[in-house]
Amino acid sequence: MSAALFAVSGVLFVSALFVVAMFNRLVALNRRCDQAGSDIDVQVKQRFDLIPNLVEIVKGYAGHERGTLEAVMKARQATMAGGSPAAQAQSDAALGSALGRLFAVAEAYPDLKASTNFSDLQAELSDIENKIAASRRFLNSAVNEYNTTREQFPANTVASFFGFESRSNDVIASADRGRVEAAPAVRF
Amino acid sequence: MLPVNGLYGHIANNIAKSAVLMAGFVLLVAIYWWAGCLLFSALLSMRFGSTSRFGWSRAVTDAMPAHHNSYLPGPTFEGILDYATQTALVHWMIPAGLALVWFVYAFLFYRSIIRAATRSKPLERRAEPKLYNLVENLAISAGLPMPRIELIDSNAMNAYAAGLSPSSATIGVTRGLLLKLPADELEAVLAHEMTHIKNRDVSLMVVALIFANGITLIGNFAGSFFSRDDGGITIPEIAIPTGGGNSEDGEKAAGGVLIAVLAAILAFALMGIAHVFAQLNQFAISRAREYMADAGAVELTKNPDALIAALQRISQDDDVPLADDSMRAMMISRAFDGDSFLDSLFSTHPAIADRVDKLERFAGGRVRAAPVRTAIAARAPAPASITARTPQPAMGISGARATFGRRG
Repeated sequence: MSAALFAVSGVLFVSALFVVAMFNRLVALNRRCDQAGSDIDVQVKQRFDLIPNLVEIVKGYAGHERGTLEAVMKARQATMAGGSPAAQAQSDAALGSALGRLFAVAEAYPDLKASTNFSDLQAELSDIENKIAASRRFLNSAVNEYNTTREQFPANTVASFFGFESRSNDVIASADRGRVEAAPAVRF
Repeated sequence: MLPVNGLYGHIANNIAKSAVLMAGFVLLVAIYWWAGCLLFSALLSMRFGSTSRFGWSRAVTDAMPAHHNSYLPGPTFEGILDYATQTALVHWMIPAGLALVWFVYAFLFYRSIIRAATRSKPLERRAEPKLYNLVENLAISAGLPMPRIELIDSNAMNAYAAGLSPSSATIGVTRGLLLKLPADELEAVLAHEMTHIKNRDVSLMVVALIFANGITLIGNFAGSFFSRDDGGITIPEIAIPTGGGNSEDGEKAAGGVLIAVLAAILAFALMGIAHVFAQLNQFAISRAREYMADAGAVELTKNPDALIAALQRISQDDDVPLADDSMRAMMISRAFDGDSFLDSLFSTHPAIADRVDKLERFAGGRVRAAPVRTAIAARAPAPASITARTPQPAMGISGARATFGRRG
């Protein structure tokens, strides 16, 4: 009689440990997704801070290109407006294309291209874009790990009981896809 | 326990593996202790088993502890085993105490070696600003104090991390690594070393090394009693049976000795197996920590592609000629001398293909289609603290060619 009691309580104890382990794992994965998102924000903020320097340098050499410069500053401002992730993605894509136009315009000014300040800034911005892309991919894999763990058995019972919700992937990819699928305007 | 779905699961898996393997060391010590008691029991049986109980001198009976089941191991095989288990359980404090003493001594010994090896002038920011900045940024991301940087004067590509705690850590890179790797790959390698420091892998490997060496040492010590100067095997003098008697006693004596010899052989077999498993254990722990360092590097840099490219590039030329194999533990990568399964079991690092595969599966990495143009450190090499000293217990990204059989 006592042996059976012992066995049952042992099984219950081990199950409880398992539930605790799964809960903690889900919490940790959830937090990692948040952290990955914050890491992206750090990079985005860095890009935000660098852009005024770039605009100043270009203004010094190519003051006539005010239209392009203003477009960049406006796009920069729009990214800080916040909003839904989809809207963020759109404003981010807009900034990217505005910067691209600025660099294309800068090609026509040899003095500007020769300036080491300009080339350093260009390299830094390019580096930040790479870092942002890498951080986004990291966020995607973190979200994927969280969602997969959340849906697999037996963790899905724990997840539904404690209310762990599904997370969506980073939406920049989908916004960019829209840009890529539109035919690029090429002018000769 | 839980399936591995990504980086977090991969790391948790390896932490669990390390814990199990370290517990395995404790189990190996216990097996060794039992085997030692079995040997002792067999020797006793050889020496005294042939005499009848009433023939013992009082000195012998007085010397036997009262809590043994019987004063001496019985003449049967089971009797010898039983006596061994009794002795092992009753005197468990002997191996515990010995292990503790050995541990403290060996740890202090290794600590003094590490300190002596890393006392040179550290690399200054001025000498290699890009490298210094990379390490500094990684240290800030990881929340660690800035480690010492050491530059190794070698054209091979390799890097290592040394130091028993984050506050006394050193990262070494070869000049070849600095020249041949683009910035993001170099950063990935440095992040790998930084993760070793963060996880205190050098301390862990020193602990594993102490266990493995201790087991080896005792095995050699015990074996020395049983070997002749010319390399053969012998039975130590104290085990030679005493007491004679009539021919009937003589026959029983012969049978008893044979059984005892079988028991002794079993004991040696166990010790040998434990010895081999201790070595395998040490290497298995090392490989698990390497996987963890790769995963940690991805967490720090968020750039698995760079690490994959770096590993592939480094594996082509990682052989840094350094004298001390055993303690140097790991640099970031290690060339295999053979592809056999045995070689991989005795290797400190997983194969590059396996590391790349894990990075692809769990970290979302991809093998780069075209190699990135290498950035060259444009400045002429400034005077830096270049030392070709053997980096003592260190965790590098590429190990030396450790062949099967050449260890310890």
